[in-house]
Amino acid sequence: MSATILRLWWIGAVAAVLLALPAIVRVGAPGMSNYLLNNYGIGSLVWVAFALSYDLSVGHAGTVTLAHPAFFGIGAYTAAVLSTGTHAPFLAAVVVAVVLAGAAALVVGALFFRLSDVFFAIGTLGVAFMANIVAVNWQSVTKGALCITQIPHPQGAADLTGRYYLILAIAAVTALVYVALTRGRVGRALAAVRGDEGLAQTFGANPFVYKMLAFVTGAMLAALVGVFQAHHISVVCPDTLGTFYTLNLLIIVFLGGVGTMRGVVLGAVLFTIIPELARFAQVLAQLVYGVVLLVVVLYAPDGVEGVLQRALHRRRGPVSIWGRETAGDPAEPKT
Amino acid sequence: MNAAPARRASSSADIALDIRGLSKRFLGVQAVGGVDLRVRSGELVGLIGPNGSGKTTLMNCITGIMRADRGEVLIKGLRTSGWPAYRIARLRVGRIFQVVRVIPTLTVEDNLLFAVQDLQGDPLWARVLHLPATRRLDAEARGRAEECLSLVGLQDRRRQPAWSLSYGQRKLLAFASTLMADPDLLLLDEPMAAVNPAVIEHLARLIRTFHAAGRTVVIIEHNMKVIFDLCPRLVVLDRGAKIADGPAEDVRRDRAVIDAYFGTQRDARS
Repeated sequence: MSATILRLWWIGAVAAVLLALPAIVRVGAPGMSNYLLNNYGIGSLVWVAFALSYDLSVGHAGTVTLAHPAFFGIGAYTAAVLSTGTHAPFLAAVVVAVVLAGAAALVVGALFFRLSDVFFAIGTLGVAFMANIVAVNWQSVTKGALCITQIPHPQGAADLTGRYYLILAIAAVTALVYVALTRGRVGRALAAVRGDEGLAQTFGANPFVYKMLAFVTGAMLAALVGVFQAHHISVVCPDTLGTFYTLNLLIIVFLGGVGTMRGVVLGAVLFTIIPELARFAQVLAQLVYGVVLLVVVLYAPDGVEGVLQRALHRRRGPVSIWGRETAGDPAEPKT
Repeated sequence: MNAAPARRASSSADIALDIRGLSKRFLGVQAVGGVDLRVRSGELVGLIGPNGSGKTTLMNCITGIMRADRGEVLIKGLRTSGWPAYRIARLRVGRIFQVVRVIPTLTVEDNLLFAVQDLQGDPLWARVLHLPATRRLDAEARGRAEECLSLVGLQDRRRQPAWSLSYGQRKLLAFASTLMADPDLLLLDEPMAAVNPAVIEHLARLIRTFHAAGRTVVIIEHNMKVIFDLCPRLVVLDRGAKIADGPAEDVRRDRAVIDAYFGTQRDARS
């Protein structure tokens, strides 16, 4: 079976399971179906879409931005303000939020892409703090610490199953955009800019354009997820833009495998499932979670994707993640 | 290798590279001080000098990697001083670095495809949407990549990630990547450094072939046998200043050049 057919088979199988998930949990665990669909199904897909949008910048453009939750927050607050104030439909909120987040990302990128990596990270951290401060203090719009509540569920997706399919569609769109930007000519250019920006320039590539493309697209996708989240949980608070989310995103992409779609998806799913499972351990929950992260960092620095790649490597020849040589590669100089 | 592109008829276009009074200082060190250099189209010029004489800095200023403090650079008659490196590269100026540089996570073939894609002129949105026109350009580039891989003998490694190549193979890949754009002006910074004699021989053959097709080449090299074999004209830098410029045989006997490499009699006495 060729690699393409095998890949299509896998994609089809995963899509079938995801589409059938509401029915599976209703039949398999009737008493817990809402809990499972909400906490595991929707919860995982929110993080999958959010983390994929983040990985465009961090994993592919090589720019560690700490402002990503600010764009998620722009989406969530736009949806909250429009739907509670003007009763705007979900799609209108999506359009406005995505445009606002894109414009904000253009400004942030134009200001900070001229800085070196570390200062770019610190600059974007400042943006995240500023966004949080605005959300807390601009009370006439955001209601500050009181939060915006009673945000209606999206029209046509008022029940949990409907919202599950809506976030599934959003995650699918995010995955398609992710693939479009990380394969072919743009993917090659991003790999080159991340790998050696100076060299990329000597081949005529303008690194600023490619970094900005990944950053702005990621911000717009994050806003899309933010709009969904506001309509899903019906409340938006200033901590939506907090740096706590940044930490979660970093954990997901590095736990799963930075710069790899499968790794980020697995990271997001594990990130959702592990704390839920560890919850039964009550006080030990955070400890269990911490131990899992430590084990990954110490024994699988390429993340879960690295472990998978090494396992597949035995059957399929040399592989690498971010240019690291894997076991048994032919990397020794032979000149 | 493709036929040489049509040359411009104007006299300024006959000068491939014109450097006027170029200076670059790093804190207290004058790396390059007021260097003038004119290279005609189709010339093969060797740029030599002891370590620290400013050769690589000069090349960095020509290609936009560094910005000169003073002076100007004209490439094919266009004043390029202050231009970013990617804009200079779009004038079909190729560059090979002293320490070999390839994109490690890309395959050998993707390194070559990347080397030319930003010169093919398709808009960014067409690339994002993977439009058929963009895919056609990629297919064209694949044909050219096959040609370049055959030239350097890496055709069997096209699907291998670049990080898995040996140092010598990476040198050849870097050379092939630079050839992808069919540059009019090629700047080579120590292409023979740290590679075995077989690869040196191979690279020297490639440079001769490239130059014979009408291209302009400026090469920095410490391997004197290679440089005297390859270059009819030599330019010598010492402590950031040009101390000799002329036919290789004349430069070989030049007193200032001998002093720069081996020290003056006065240095020896002190």
